[in-house]
Amino acid sequence: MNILRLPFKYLMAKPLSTVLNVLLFAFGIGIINLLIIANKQVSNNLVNNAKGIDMVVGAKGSPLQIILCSIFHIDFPTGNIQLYEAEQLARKRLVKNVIPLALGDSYQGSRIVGTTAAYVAHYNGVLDKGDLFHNDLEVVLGSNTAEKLGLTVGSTFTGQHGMSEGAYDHEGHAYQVVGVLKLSGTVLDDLILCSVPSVWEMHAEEEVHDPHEAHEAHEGHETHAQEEKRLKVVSDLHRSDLDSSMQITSMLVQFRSPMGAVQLPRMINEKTNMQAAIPAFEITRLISIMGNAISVMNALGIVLVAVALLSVFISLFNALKERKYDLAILRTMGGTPIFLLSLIVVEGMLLMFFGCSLGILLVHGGLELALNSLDTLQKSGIDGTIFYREELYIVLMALLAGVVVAIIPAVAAYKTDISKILGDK
Amino acid sequence: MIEVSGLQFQYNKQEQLDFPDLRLPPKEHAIILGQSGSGKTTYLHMLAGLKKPQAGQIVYGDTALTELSGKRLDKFRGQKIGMVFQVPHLIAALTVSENIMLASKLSGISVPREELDGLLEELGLSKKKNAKIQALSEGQKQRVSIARALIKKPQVLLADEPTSALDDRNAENVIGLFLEMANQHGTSLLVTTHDKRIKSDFKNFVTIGA
Repeated sequence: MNILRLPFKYLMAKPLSTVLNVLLFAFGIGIINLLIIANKQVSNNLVNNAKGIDMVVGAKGSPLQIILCSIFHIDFPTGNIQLYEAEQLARKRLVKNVIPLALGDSYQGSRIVGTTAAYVAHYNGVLDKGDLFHNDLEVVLGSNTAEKLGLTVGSTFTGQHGMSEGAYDHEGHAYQVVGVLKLSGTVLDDLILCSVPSVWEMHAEEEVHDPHEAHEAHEGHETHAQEEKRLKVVSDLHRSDLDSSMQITSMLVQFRSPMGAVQLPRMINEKTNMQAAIPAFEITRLISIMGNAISVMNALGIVLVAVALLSVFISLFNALKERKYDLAILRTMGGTPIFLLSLIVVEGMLLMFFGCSLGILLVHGGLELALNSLDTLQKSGIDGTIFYREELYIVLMALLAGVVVAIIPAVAAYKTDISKILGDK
Repeated sequence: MIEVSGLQFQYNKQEQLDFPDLRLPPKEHAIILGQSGSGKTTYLHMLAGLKKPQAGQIVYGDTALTELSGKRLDKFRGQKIGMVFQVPHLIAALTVSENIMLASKLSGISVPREELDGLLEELGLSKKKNAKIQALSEGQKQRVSIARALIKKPQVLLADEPTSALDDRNAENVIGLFLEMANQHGTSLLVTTHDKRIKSDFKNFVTIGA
C-alpha cells in the first residue's frame, strides 16, 4: 500500500464526516467560482456586444433600458422614435455610422429585429447557410435561435406581437427563413433578423385591421414601394432627403470623433424627442448595480468557506484525538514525526482539494445544465464550458487553506509523546 | 546480542528508577517480570528507543541505541524492533494486509507478496487477508499485530503485557504463539508481564522493582 494513500483511507473510513466537509467547502467555493465566471463572462459579453457602439438613441425613458433593449435585447423598448428625427441625427457631421433597429415582435421567445445588413456586419456575422434578407418577410436566424427553434433555410413561421411568449400571432403573414448565421458569440446568435420594412409591414397590416386606428394607419403609413425605399434610406441615412413619418425603435450610433460624445447626447436630450444613451456609461452603471449583489454573494461564499475551514479544522483535531494510538503505533513502526505531520496536512489538503474540485465541477456542470434547460439563461451569454486561470488559483488557495487548517493538529501530531500514549494502554 | 546496563530513568521530580541489566544472546527469549507500576513498560519503551534513559546503555549488536536520535533512531526502531501491545492498536481504516504491509513500508524494508501470504498462513489469517479490522475477533487482532511486528524481520520482538487480560488457556496459547513465531523467524523475544503464569515458559528473566 502506498503510504500516501493512508490519509485517503482515513477520510474514506469516515464517509459521512468527509462528505459533509467536502460539500460544505464545495458550496462555498462554488459560490465564489460562480461569481468569478458570471462576473467575467457577463462583463465580457456586455463589453463585446457594445463594442463599436458609441451611443444608442431611443424614445424618451430610461437610458439603461434603451441600452438593455437595443444592444443586449433583454428589456422592453421605451417606445419608438420618428424616422425623420433619426435621419436628421444621422446627417450630423459628428456621426460616422448608424444602424436602425425596429423591435416589437418575437417568435417563441426569440426576438425579431428589423435592421439592415450593417447590423450583421457590425458583429462580424457570417452566413452559415442561405443568404441575407433582401425582401420583405425574409429573415435570417442566429445560430442558437435556429437550433432552438429547429428552423432552417426555407422554413416559415408567424411572428407574435410583443416580446413575451403567448402573445397573439400576426396571422396572414409568415416570415420565411432565407439564411442562418454561424455562431458568433454575440447577440446575433439569439435573434431573428429581418429588414425594417418587414416589421413596418407586419404592424401596418395589424393597424389597418384595427377599426379604431385604421384611418390613422392609412394616413400615417406609406405604400409598400415607399417602404422599400425607406429600407434604402434607413440603411444609408446620410443620403436620405425624404420626408419620413415612419418610426423605428432605436438607432445605434458611431461617432466620427470624440467630440460626438461631448456634443450629441446633450443636444439630443435637450432638443429632440429622443433619448441618447451612452453604452460605456450605462454598462459601468449596470456593473456597479450588479457589483452590490456580487459583493453580497461573495460575502456569503467567504462565510461558507470559513465555516468549512473551521469544520475541517475541528474534524482534524477530533481525528487527532481518536487516532492518537494509530499515530503512536506508526512511530513504533518507524514513522518519523515529520511523517505524522505530513499525514494530517495531506488529509486537510485532500479535503480541500475534493471540496474545491467538486465546487468547480458543480458550478460548470450546473451552469451547462441550466443553460440547456432555461431559455432566459441562454441569452446571458454565459458559457459553462470555459475554465479560467482564476479557478486554478482557487484550487491552489484551497490546498494552502488545507495546510493552514491542518497545521495545528499536525504540529500536535508531530509532538505526540508516543511513550505516554502507549503507556496509557 | 542485546546488552542493557545501568539504566536509570526519572519521571518529573519523582523517585529515580534503577533498572536491571540484561544480556540476551541472539534468538534467545526473556521475560521481564514486575508488579503493576514497577516500571516494566518504561523499561520496554527505553529498549524500543521510545524513552531516553537518564543514564545507562542499550546496545543492539554493534549499535548503541542510546546514542541514536531523530531519524536514525526512528529508522533503527522501524527496521530492528517489532512491538506488540496488550491492545493490538490496529488501524481501523486499513484492511488486515494493509495494516501489516504498512509496517514494512514505514521501515523501508521491501517485503514480497509471497512472504506476507506465508506469514498470514502461519498465523491462520489467510482468509482474513482483505478483511476490515472491525470484522476480526480479539484473538485475530492480536495475531495481526504479531504479523505486523514480524513482517520486517526484526532483531527483537518486544511484547508489552500481551496476556494480562487473558484467561489461563488463552494466555498459554498467546505465549506459545509468540515463542513459536519468534523461533520460526529467528527473532529475540522480550515480554513484560506481571503474570507469573507464563514465567515457566522462559528460561531467561529479569525482575523489576524487586
